[in-house]
Amino acid sequence: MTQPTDPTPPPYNTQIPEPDTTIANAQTLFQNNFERLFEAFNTDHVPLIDAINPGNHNVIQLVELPIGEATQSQEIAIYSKKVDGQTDQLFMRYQGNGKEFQLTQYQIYALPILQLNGVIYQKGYFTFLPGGIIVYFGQVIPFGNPFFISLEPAICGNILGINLCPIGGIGSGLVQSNVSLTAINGKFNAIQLTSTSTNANQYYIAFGNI
Amino acid sequence: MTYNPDYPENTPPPDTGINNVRTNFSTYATIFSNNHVALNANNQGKHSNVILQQVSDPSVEGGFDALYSNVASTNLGATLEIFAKIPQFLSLDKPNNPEQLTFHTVNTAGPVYQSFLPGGYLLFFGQVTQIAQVNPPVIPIVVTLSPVPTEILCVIANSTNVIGTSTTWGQPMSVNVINNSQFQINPTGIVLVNHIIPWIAIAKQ
Repeated sequence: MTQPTDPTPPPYNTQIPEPDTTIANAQTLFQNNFERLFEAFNTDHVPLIDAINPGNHNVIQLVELPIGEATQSQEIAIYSKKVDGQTDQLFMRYQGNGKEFQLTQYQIYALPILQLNGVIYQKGYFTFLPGGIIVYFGQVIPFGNPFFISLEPAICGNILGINLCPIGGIGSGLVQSNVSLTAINGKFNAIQLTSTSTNANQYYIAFGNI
Repeated sequence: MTYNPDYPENTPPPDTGINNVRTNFSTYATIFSNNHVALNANNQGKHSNVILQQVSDPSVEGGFDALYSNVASTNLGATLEIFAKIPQFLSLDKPNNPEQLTFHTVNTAGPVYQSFLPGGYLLFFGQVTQIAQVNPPVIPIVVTLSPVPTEILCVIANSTNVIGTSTTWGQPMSVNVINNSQFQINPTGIVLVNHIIPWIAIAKQ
């Protein structure tokens, strides 16, 4: 009868060799540790046996930390931390346990082109800036006055700035606009645009935070 | 010397393979010092720098984020950039695409300044000076962006105020995109000589 093999190799052992162990007796233990060290180092790194760049990184997987990493002088830390209502985001902290700021925000995805009866009325995009700032931008082709510029995703509790610019040739700049904000459950989902000219196409940029 | 995870071998006995053990310890220390503070140094094990070799987009499922480098498609061709991948938390109709964090060039010299926004967007900004005093019709000002993006998505020229040496009020502006690298600023009304018109544009890389 054959003995069942253990599919799980022994873990890395920090306690070998013991003072009274001979090298010969510790051979297996040494070998196991070198194998485990090799396997562990393979995570995120170019393998130890790579002929060209051993030790470089091929990816950095940042495991979620419960609190921000502390830093000493001449150190900058980058780490991941859970954001309420979202997922793990990247954070940074400057040297000397300085200010922490959020490097990434939310989840970027392509917004659909908005149409009514087959006519495009908004091409919108969004991204973020370090510090947790959401940036909405794009182009609107209003079909009414007032007209609502969609702010998708509607995640900002504060809109920090809005800028508009009429689209068109000479003379188009005479369009004047007023804006106000609409919100659902405290999150702004649209800019209400009222213009002196109905159907005035405009570019827009808006900044907000959650 | 190279690291060998199979050392020490079963044969010859370890007492004769001691050099192999020493080679492994020595080689490991040398390799570890690439990108890391070396063993036995102050702050050993922390990262001193990070060189990211190009990889394909990783799968991120669970409590961690991934930073890595991969090729991005731009109007200038394929370039190696830094990406972040975070765990999906939205519904699946909003795909959790890798977030491109960098663009391989910036322009800090002007007059057309350029930086980047996460997601593969280029941010251009600058100012133009109205060089001719013209009673209507006014002369449009063409701005050429470099590096050339795929598509200009948004342009804002200061439409409510003009900063300059004159005390006259600013004039309204409009803009129109000419092609993927140029847009035109159209002052409306009388714009005096040396009036400065700030602008900002966002484009797809």
